[in-house]
Amino acid sequence: MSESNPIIFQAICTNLDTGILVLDQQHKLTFFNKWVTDRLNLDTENISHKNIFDVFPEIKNTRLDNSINDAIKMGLPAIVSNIFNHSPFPLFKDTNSSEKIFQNINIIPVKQGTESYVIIQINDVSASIQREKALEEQARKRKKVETELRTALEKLKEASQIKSDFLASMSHEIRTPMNGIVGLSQLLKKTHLNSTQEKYLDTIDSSINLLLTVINDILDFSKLESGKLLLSKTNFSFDNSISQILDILETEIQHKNLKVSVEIDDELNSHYIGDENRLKQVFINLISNAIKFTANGNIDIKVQLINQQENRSNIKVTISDNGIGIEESILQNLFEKFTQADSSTTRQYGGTGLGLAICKNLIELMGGIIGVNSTLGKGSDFWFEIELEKGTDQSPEVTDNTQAPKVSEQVFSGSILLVDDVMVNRLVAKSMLEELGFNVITAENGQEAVDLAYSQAFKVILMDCQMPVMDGFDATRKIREMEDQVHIPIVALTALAMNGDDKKCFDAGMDGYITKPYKTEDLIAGIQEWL
Amino acid sequence: MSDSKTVLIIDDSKVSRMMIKAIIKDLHPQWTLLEAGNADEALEVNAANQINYYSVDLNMPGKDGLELISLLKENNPDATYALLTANIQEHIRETAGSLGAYCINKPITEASIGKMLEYFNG
Amino acid sequence: MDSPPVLSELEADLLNEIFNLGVGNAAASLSQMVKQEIKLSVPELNFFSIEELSETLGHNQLLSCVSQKITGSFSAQSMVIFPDEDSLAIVGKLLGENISEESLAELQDEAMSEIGNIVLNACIGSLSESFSSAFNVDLPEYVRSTPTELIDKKKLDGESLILFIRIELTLSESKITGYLAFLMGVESLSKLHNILKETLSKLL
Repeated sequence: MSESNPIIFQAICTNLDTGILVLDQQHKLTFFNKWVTDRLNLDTENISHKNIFDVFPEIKNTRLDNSINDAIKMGLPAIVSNIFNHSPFPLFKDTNSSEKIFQNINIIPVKQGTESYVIIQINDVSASIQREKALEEQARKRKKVETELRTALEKLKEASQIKSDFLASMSHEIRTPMNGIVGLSQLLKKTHLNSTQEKYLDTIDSSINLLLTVINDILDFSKLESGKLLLSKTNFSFDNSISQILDILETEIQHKNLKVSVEIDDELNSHYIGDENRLKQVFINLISNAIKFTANGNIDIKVQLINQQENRSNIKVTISDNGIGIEESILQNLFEKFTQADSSTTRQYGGTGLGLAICKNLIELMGGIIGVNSTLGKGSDFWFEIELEKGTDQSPEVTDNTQAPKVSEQVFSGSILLVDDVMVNRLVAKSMLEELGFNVITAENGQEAVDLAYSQAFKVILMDCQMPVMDGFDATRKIREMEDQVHIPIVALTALAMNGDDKKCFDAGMDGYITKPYKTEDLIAGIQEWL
Repeated sequence: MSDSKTVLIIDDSKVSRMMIKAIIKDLHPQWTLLEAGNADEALEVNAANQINYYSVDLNMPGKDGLELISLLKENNPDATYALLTANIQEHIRETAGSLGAYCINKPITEASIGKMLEYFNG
Repeated sequence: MDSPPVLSELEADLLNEIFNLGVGNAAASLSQMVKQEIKLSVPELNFFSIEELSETLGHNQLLSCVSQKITGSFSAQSMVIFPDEDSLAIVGKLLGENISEESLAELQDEAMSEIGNIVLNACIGSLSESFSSAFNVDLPEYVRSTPTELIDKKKLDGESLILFIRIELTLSESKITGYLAFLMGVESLSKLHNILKETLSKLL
């Protein structure tokens, strides 16, 4: 076509959107189109029929160079892409630009008779390079965000760990002085007081109890959050547990003139296996909430059997009140931490806002579910469902404290060795024990304890764990080493109340432990076994 | 070039060995030409003979030419070594150089073998 | 089914050496282009029928193929074949670590075309020089498909016999197996055989 229509041929070459160079077998430039000249910065008048390597010395010894040679010598076509060969020709966006264009080059050998030629076709791929760069940038940004997220997550984990560690050590720091306050206020109560002093002391007492609740809530919640709370297994009955709780809350119930009913399904076993203390904690929380938010009226406690298999029962507990009820929008977040039904109640009733969150965590830890239905103005039903293993029937336990001999009426005798480095703690415990009739010898650290352990017949040694010179664990170990025929019971008095602490005591050779802060009843309960 | 030299030609291609032998014989008819098809054979022949010049192909199965040259040199450090390959990359040239071997570019032609002989003869 | 030719020991040796040279050259060119150490070797050379090829490669294995048609003293469809995921790995290694996965996928086809072109040109060049004959060679074509699809297409063109060469590419500690394939008809293959015989007799 080119022979017969040079004008058309010329038009094609001029308007082609791709560069064309033609070389003869001496590598001389025999043809190049407008596309090329538009993009060259050099004087294109004189390059015709010059050797391409003289015109473009930069392409010597590159793949382009080798490809041109192979094409001429052996007729081999080649692709010289921008990926591996960056802008071999000095071509720019236009004659005045310094922006080089990105090139994909095709080398096409052509034979005309005995003459070899090579066509060099140049394509501008700058646009797709831009696109790729943009994609790269996006990918880089994405990676950056991912890395930042990962770092943030790690920092969070670290912070959580630091918080747990902090709480563990704070737990000790808080419980030790609390022990002093609780103990001394008890002792004070037993002294001769006038009515004003009694009133003030009562107030101190209820403040202490509130504070203890708050502290325990916070510590419990922290344990639950870090997954460090372990459930224990005890054989208990719903009947007994609920009665005990209603005893504790008796004053408030009477004060508000509330009627409380308890309905326990006949079909249920008398006893079940579960963490009695934690379940009682849930009960106390839910029932005292019901009391708080019911001005006057009824609280109904129902324990129902949903279904059962061989040795397990699905049990639903519902605590219904006809109190002020809870607004729909608040219901959803009720079990989240720090939510309370109404901020005015915080001022009125105090509390950490953790109670329900703790209940939820505990019930879920037991594998159950917890929830609430409520109508504003009509009342609320708090409920939880758990599956428990059937326990063993036991002869009726002593269900209410009034029937057992009051602690203060019991009289004891014998000697007790009391070991604690803190003066206040020694003071409190010694007074409690002497009140009960014991003869108390004190020691200030583990070494003294070891020295005194076999100096007389002690009924029991009460051993603090954290002490200078020698701590409780080492002292216990030493005393056990020295043991000949007489095994003296050693009970730990410890502010450590984190999981694994009890194991530490038993591993050292102790026989039991009492956690601070403790009341006289707790002290008795802790050493009862060996009296 | 009338001294009688002994050349050991090592290449896994029989055709290549035949071609190299033919070209050398043409130019130096008195030389003794020995051959081996792989590294193990080469070491055997080497142990039984006194070799002056080695023509070693780089790409062989098992030990390649460079490994073989370093083994041969333990036995015969003063001989002259040439490494034949179509693939002369910088790192190969460097390794060969450190072994004192000279790189010859394949394909095997009168020109390339001629170059090798020039190197052998000094 | 057409049967492959039987080469004498020397004929097979010569063919092997021709490809050794070609592939060695390709390694040198690639190495110079990307400034990395590259080794290419030819451990094995065979003649297969189309059906055998499909079995060797794995009927449903996804392959990256670059092909260039050659005509001259004999005709063939020359091809460089790599398993697709290996070809992605090769391109990744050649381009360095700073490329994201997305970019890599975009560039894979083009990059493989050029790499395949370099390898095929080197082999065709080696054939050309050894046989002292020129070939007419087409620009490379890139395709990604399974052997079954690939072969269906080729059967129609009457190319049913394959000179099948296993090659090994070593790149920064990794060894990757790829293949060279020359798809030919019966006539072409016997022409190739004759040229080998002639070349041998000239050399020795």
